[in-house]
This record gives sequence, structure tokens and C-alpha cells, in this order.
Amino acid sequence: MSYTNNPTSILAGTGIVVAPTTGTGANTITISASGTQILAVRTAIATPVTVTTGDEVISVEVPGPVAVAVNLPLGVTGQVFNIKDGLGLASPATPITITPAAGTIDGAATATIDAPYGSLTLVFASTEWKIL
Amino acid sequence: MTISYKTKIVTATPYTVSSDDEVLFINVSSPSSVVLSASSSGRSVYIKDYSGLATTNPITITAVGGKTIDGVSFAILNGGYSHIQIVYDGTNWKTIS
Repeated sequence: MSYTNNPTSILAGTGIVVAPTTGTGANTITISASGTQILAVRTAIATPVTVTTGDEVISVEVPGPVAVAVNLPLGVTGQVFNIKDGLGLASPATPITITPAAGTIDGAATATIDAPYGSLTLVFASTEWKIL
Repeated sequence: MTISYKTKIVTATPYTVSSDDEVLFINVSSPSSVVLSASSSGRSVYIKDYSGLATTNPITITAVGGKTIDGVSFAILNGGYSHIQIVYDGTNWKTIS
């Protein structure tokens, strides 16, 4: 088979190589990716914190110290959220308590960050959230 | 864009890690083993006790080809819901969380 490429709609850029971009004849377009992952970080300044499906890293920066509630959305398998005590105010008396919309977190109804600058990485698997 | 991992719930032992595994949840009601296969530098994988059973049913992790994990021949998960993240440095495996 032989054909003429149309201008590719996939553009080469940082971490992305597209080859060939033009030409004729049987060919293969190879896309490779490299580089580092850039995470979206949202600063949450009021409690309760409602995590949305578009969130990645949530830095909890509620003035205090004060107990903070973080509510997770319904999970999608593989989805990951990072919850971080961004001000270092978490303690046993003023924890960050994470509650899922459904299911459990490592078998429990909630998960807690109670150490200054502590963080939790949560991934949803099947029916439950798991801490990584 | 959101962060998403490829997850797999493992229910049989032993399990050999596939090249595209990212997060493995071990859900085996007996002591189990996970074998890290040959990889390229930078490859990482999470291994997690899915149901809190590792306290009584530990998960032993080894690597093929005589590769070590933090300088020894194996790693063990023996705490309920415990996990590790392991990365291959091109020569051996290292735990990073």
C-alpha cells in the first residue's frame, strides 16, 4: 500500500516525536513520549474540601489549626488523588479526615492525615480506595 | 487530565509482574509471592496488600536474574494493607515508598 501523508494533526513537541510527518510510500508513524509528568496542584483553603474528578494533587491549606474534612468523589478504577497537608497544621487534634463518596479506604470508612505535612496517595480499585 | 494507574487485582500465587503492570493489589488467602521480571531502567511498580491479609499471609517479592531489592534477595509485605513501590535502576531494584 502506498499513500501520501496528510499534514499530521499530532505535533511533535517536548517528549513527543512524530516520524515521518510527510512523505509517500508505505510508512509508519511512531509516537514516543518521554519527559516528566506534570501534576495539577489545587490549593484548598476551606473545609470541607470537595475533591472533583479533575483533581490530581490537593494541597490542604485551611488556616487554623482546625480539623479538615476532605470528601472524595465516586471512584473510577485506576484514578489517583494525592492529599497533602500543605501548611503543616495536621495533628491528632486537628486531622485531615478523608471520606469516600462510596466504598472504603483500606477497609475503613475514612483515612486520616494527622502529622504535619503528611500526605496520602489514594488509588481506586474495583470498589474501594487504597492507600499507596 | 487526571492521574490514573493501570491496576490489577492478583488472586493467584505466584505472580510474575507483566511489563505493563503499574499497581498490583495482592488478594490471596495464603502466603504469596510476586516475581519482578526483567525490566529497563526507570521501570516502577506498586505492590499492595489488597485486603489486609498480609499480616497472616505475607507477600514475598523477588526478582529474576539474581537482581536484588535494596541489596537483598527479597522484600516482604507483612503488614495489613502495606505496600511498596519499587523502581529498577538499571542494575537492581530499589524501594522508594
